[in-house]
Amino acid sequence: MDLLSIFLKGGWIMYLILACSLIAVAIIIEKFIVLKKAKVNVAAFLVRIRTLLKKKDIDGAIALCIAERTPVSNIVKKGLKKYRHGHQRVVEAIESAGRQEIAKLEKGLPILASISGIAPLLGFLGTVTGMITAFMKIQELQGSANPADLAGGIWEALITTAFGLIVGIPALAFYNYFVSAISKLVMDIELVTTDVIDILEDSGKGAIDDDEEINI
Amino acid sequence: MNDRVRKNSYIASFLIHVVIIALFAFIHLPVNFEEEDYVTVGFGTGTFAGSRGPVTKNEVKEEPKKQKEESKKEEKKVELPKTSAEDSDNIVKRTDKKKEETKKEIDNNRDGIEENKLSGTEAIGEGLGGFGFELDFGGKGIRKIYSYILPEYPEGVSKEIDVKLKFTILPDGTVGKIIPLIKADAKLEMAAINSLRQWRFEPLPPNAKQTEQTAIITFPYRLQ
Repeated sequence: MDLLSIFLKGGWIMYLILACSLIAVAIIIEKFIVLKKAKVNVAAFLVRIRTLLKKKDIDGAIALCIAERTPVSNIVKKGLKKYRHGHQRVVEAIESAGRQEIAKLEKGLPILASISGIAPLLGFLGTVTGMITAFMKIQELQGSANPADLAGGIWEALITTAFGLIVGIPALAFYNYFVSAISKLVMDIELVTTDVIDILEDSGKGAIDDDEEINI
Repeated sequence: MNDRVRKNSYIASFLIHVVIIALFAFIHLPVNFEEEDYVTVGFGTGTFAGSRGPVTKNEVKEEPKKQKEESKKEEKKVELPKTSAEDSDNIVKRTDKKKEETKKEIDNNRDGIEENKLSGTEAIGEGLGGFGFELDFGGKGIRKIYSYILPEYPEGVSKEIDVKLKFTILPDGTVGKIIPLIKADAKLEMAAINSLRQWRFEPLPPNAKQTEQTAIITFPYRLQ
């Protein structure tokens, strides 16, 4: 018995599970691409942007951010664009840009989480409806149903649970993986942005502050 | 850019699923199961589904009581379930030696076997020639008997002995090797072997491992 005919025996619930699988795989692929692009060599980026900022080359720093095209560089770029409007505006811009970028990264993850829960539940629903059908059949046969009739209905019903779990388990695993990967990315973003804010604040104060610090 | 990525990933996902479903048509799930090498031989078309583990003596003793209790319960109901009614009606009494009854038992042997199976051996009532046969159950597997011929009591022999034969059942249901376990009388042995050779068992299901199975049968030759 090939898997395709087993799949078709599962009934209409199988198509719902298939749709779940289709969406889940699409989200997984999309997230992989997005995360791969978002991953940036934080240390290298930090060194380069720090050098430019120390030289007060804001335009150069913005150009670097545009060239990088990562969430971190996007956030820094938005902050740097507000450089002329004062330190407070820079911090606000970076915060709001950070929220936007994180939202972009996390987009689709709730759907993946839902699928990891819904797919097995759909499977259980299919099993329960299948069982109901099997037992109704036995009642119709007035109890003279042989074990083969019963087993036939039951294994067909169990197929949906199996496929639901096949979809649900990887979906859950990938969801957890993406959540941890994104939280790691968020930490990197925080590291870079706080560093950038510090440098901008220091450079804005000028050399006098440094002298005062030395005198103390 | 993100929209393009999303669109591409949905296309990729769709293609992956098409490929997987196409692969499904070629993946065959192995539903093979191994048959026991040592089997119980059963009669008729009844279901022997409940292959139980080793039966202890206590269980064997308790079983007839349960049967009686069940049959009492069943009688109270208006509609008697077919199977259990048969069970309670056709309990084989192993001590019963009356010919007429034993014949009847062979006719209804399915239930008799189900009853006797518990004791580990099965005694089918004596045949016309003054003998019956016993099957020794070593394993959990079950093969139904489609047709059997009881051996004729050969002339010129006046012995009361048990002829014990070990035989293999081939996957197609025919009897393979027959090995006499107790050397007794050659004529009786030959008669038993010749009749056993003509027995037919149910063939193994096509998805099962095609193995030869072994069973032991005892023909108790008794003079009348």
